[in-house]
Amino acid sequence: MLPIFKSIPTHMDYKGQKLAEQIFQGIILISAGIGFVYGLIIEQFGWTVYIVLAGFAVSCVLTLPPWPMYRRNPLSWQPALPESTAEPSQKPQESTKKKKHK
Amino acid sequence: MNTVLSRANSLFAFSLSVMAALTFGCFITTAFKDRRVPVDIHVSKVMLKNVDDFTGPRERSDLGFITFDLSADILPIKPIFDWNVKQLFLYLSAEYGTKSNSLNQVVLWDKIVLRGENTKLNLRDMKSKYFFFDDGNGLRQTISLSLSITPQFSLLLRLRALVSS
Repeated sequence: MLPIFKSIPTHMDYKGQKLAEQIFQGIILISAGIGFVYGLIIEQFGWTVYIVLAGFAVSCVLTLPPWPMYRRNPLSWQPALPESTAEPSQKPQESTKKKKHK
Repeated sequence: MNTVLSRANSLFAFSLSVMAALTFGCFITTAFKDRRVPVDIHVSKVMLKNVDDFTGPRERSDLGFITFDLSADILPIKPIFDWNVKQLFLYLSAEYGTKSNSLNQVVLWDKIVLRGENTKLNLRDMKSKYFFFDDGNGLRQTISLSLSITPQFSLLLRLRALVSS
């Protein structure tokens, strides 16, 4: 089961992450304000909790899956170096890199 | 925030902090209200016995049986069931002083009133629910009954006594 979940892409770029954070904070704060006022009016705190939970569910749907609006500024990576031309000079560097990673 | 789990983690933690702030706001709006309710108590019959008290030291103590009337309307113009109250715990306690103890308080009767139930109490000839034992033999003096209402908040516990009779 785990390999299937790992193959679904869930990344966002940095501006998308910032946008997602602002979106969920705004939604939860707005639903908390609405819920507080509504619970104060009808004198039941249960409705306040329900409204905040609804805001939580809406922000879950909006920010947890990686929608295309969060991927509008992708990072431009440099092109990968082909390995066949740089083999003799890169072998000791590769072995030291492997030691550092482990 | 680059994986689903870290986004879900920050979202959930933020929601919990917001809920805590809302709970505090709910407490602040109701903590300083005045919750006195006038009540009318009348004792109809008092019977006093002097029997063996098996719960304490082996001496004869006073045992009192009291039947009383009680009428109260807990829902006046300003409601007592605001959003911070889960249920009301009413109890009737007798307070008196004796030679050995300066202040005794004995609970005679209690009742739980849940939210949404009828709030007009009109009790006639209620018997005391619990035994009214005294440590010594001091029940022959006058006692004053006081009705105390304890609102059991869903958020905060608050004790308040209202006295009449």
